[in-house]
Amino acid sequence: MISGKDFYLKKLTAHLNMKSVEVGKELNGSTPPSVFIGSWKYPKVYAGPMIAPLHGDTKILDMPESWIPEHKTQEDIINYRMSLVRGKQPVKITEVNNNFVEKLQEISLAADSIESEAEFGNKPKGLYFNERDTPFGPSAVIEKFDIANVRWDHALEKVYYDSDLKASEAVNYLHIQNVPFSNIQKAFSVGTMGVKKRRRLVPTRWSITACDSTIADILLNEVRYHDIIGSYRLYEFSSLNNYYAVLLVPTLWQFEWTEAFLHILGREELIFSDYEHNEGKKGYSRVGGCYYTCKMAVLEALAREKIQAGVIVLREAYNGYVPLGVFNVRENVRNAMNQPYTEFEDINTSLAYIGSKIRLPLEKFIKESTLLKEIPRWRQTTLDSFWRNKQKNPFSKS
Amino acid sequence: MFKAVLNDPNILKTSFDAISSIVDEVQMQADNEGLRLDALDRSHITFVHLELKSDLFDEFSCIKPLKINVDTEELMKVLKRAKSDDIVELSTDEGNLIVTFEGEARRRFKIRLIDIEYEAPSPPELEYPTEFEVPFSLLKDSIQDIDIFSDKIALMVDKDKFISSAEGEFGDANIEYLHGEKIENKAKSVFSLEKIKEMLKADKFSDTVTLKLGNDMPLNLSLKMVTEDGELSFLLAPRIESEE
Repeated sequence: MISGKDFYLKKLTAHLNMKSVEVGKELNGSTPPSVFIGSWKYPKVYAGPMIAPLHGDTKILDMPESWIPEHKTQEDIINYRMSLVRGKQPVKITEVNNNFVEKLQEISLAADSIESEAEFGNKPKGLYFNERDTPFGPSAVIEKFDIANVRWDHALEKVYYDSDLKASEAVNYLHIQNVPFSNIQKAFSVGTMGVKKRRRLVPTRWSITACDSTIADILLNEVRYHDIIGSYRLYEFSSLNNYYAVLLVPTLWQFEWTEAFLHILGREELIFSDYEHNEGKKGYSRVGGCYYTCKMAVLEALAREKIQAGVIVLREAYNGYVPLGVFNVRENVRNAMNQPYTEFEDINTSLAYIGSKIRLPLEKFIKESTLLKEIPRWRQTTLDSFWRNKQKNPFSKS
Repeated sequence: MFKAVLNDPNILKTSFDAISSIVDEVQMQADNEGLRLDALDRSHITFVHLELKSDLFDEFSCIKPLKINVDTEELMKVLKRAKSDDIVELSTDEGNLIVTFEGEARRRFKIRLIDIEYEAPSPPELEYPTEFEVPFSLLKDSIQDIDIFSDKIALMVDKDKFISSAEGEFGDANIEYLHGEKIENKAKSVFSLEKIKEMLKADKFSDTVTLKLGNDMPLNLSLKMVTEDGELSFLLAPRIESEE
């Protein structure tokens, strides 16, 4: 990730005061279900369940998919997260067969919240809040941990028992079965899918990007076969102090993500951008995991509509914005793609319209971006167009 | 029955290094004249044509014409395992392409044939105002030079020079080469650098490249063996600047 962006987001999270839930050394509660795998000291990582001192259905605490559709505020979300207590134990990523990890696997395959009892070495303290992950409350080493009987999600159970199915195929299958992204990711992170001897614990942060990019790659292969749209379409959405604009342009697949952070700390205006041409992305994105999350969310919509397009995404984050994890991007973009779109005849009118909706002058976005500069000027042709008059196009689909 | 033996695995290896990065699946056609393939990438930007004549092979027999449909990635994984002094043999059975490496040991791989619903596209014909040769290494170096500043490359030729250039946000690059050929026209087109890189993965096929360039026309890039027994050629759709 660009160190500039990391540094900036660190500053954003440093000055915020949050209060996490108070619990004692013994906790009797419910897990949404939820697990967290740290990346610190990889390949020996801290893994464990997250439990709230509440009973019954606690799903909402760890289900980002429902926060935006249910109009939860930033405060609601922070309160949800701060009531999650993280128990942890050091585990080698290959130890997917030890008792503790098996319990975590049971949790992440569960279809519902699970009543749980935990004993910690010390009273759980502090809170976990940083520039990249979804925050949560206090944590402590977990010494004893019991859970009630669990009913498993069918699709997750199926991939768990299929020890010949590759992890990428498992992720794709679950996505097709409409298993919520956060459930796929949790199950992925505790090593419940993939070819048996290659199953591993995967730190939560990495597992999110792994699932996003796996799904995106598969969807892209599908979208490349669809017909290119005939006009320009703009999808918009605002929530949690963010504005998102997704512009589909009538070209072969290409993608650009540009985000601006405006006046959140003071007078600052910071813009970060990354893109890919038709051939796709090679290497890790300089803007981090949000690139893959956004790409996955737009490809989901293109595949659903059976269309192909170039995609330009602009995001503005305003004063009051708090980094809460990449779900913010995924769910906002998904919601944008579910709105009716505004249609335009050409690139200039679509950009003029976007210019009227964003706070930063559009020129500043254009300056930092690549495709936004290039699309009005350059067009990648296809070979089809070179045979239109002379001979029967040998490439036309029959 | 189909059987083709090559004393040098590099021709297949280098060809499929390029082909597998352009297309996911191909239909190879074998008959008594040799082995041939025509394929178009998913986005219809690059067309690839490979022809290996029967004379090129140390042993070649194909009694009746045959279509061999394979996943290029799987084939490439196998070809990568060839050692440079291995003898390669291609054959087929019901449902498989069989690749055998004969060296210290006899290593045999069966690659499942796949279903391809479409017929392989026939190579289209275009008339070009220019045609010239440049050393393969020159083109490869130019691509790396351009890569510093841009992801697209302008290729230009006039009566004296062949010029590769790019204008990037952080700098420009310009490579001029005196081609020494008889060219009367001037031609210029712009291409995706990434797409040209894919073609140039076939770096062991030939030391020279034949280029055909027009104005805002596809690039015709062809690698021919000195013996004329083999040819690997590509057609790449250009990027076009809008007139507004």
